[in-house]
Amino acid sequence: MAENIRLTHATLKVLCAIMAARGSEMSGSQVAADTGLASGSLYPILLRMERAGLLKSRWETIDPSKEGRPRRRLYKMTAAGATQTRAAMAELMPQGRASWAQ
Amino acid sequence: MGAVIVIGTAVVGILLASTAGQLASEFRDWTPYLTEWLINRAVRRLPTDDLRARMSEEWHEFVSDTPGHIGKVLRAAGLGVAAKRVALELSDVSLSEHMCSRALAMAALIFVGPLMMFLAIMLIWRGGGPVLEKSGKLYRFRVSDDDPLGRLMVRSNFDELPSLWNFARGDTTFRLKDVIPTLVRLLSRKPPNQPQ
Repeated sequence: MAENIRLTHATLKVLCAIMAARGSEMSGSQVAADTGLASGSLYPILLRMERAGLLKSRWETIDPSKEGRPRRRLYKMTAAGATQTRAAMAELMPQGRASWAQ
Repeated sequence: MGAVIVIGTAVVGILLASTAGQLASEFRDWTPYLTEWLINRAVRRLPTDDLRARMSEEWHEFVSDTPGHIGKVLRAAGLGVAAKRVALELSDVSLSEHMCSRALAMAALIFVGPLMMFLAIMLIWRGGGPVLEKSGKLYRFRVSDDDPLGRLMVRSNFDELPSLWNFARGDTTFRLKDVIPTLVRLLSRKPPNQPQ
């Protein structure tokens, strides 16, 4: 069950970036690149959203030794997260300028 | 004179260029060790083993995905703040309480700093050796029960003054709701010789 939590500007940036991926999963570094947030802001938000049930995450299924890099933690929006993000964006942009918020 | 200046400038330029190349090469070689150390330092600040295991892997990927050596080091350095904020996020302490606690501890450190310096010098003078030790996460003065000064410091709790450093750094948080009951209890305690 997702919690109803206060969505700050930075939190909304993260949620919008993940929502804009339209169902695709994003790693922390991809979200950082899209939002421009530093790790000090990004990771507390990702963990808070995950604990609140707005995001879910899983490990990438690769063999790190073959790929030559560590596994990515992939984040995806949950249905509850999408609903809360849409509601928050609709409040901010009543004209519905964000196409995915329709 | 002009020729000397030109030759001198050229020599300095060549020296700087060759040193800069060497320094850049050193930096490139040291980057993996430096980033590893910074990531591990950040991970150690996290509160649980599960979270440490998860964030260690996640942050290694986060740093490895960053282009450039300087970028990797800067990103790894920023993880210290991330770890502190994640730990705070998972505790029931609010950011305002945490910042308030740090500010109070810094003010207290300025106020009792001279006393702490005096006590440290006295301890070195009387016993030598390191004057600080760690009790869990918190620093305290290393005192001996055989020393009258040590006994006095333990009785007066002055041996715990260095823990202010932990509060000022934000390793732990001083919470009014935890402290007020203790203060009330201490202030309402009657002196031992006062008739009941």
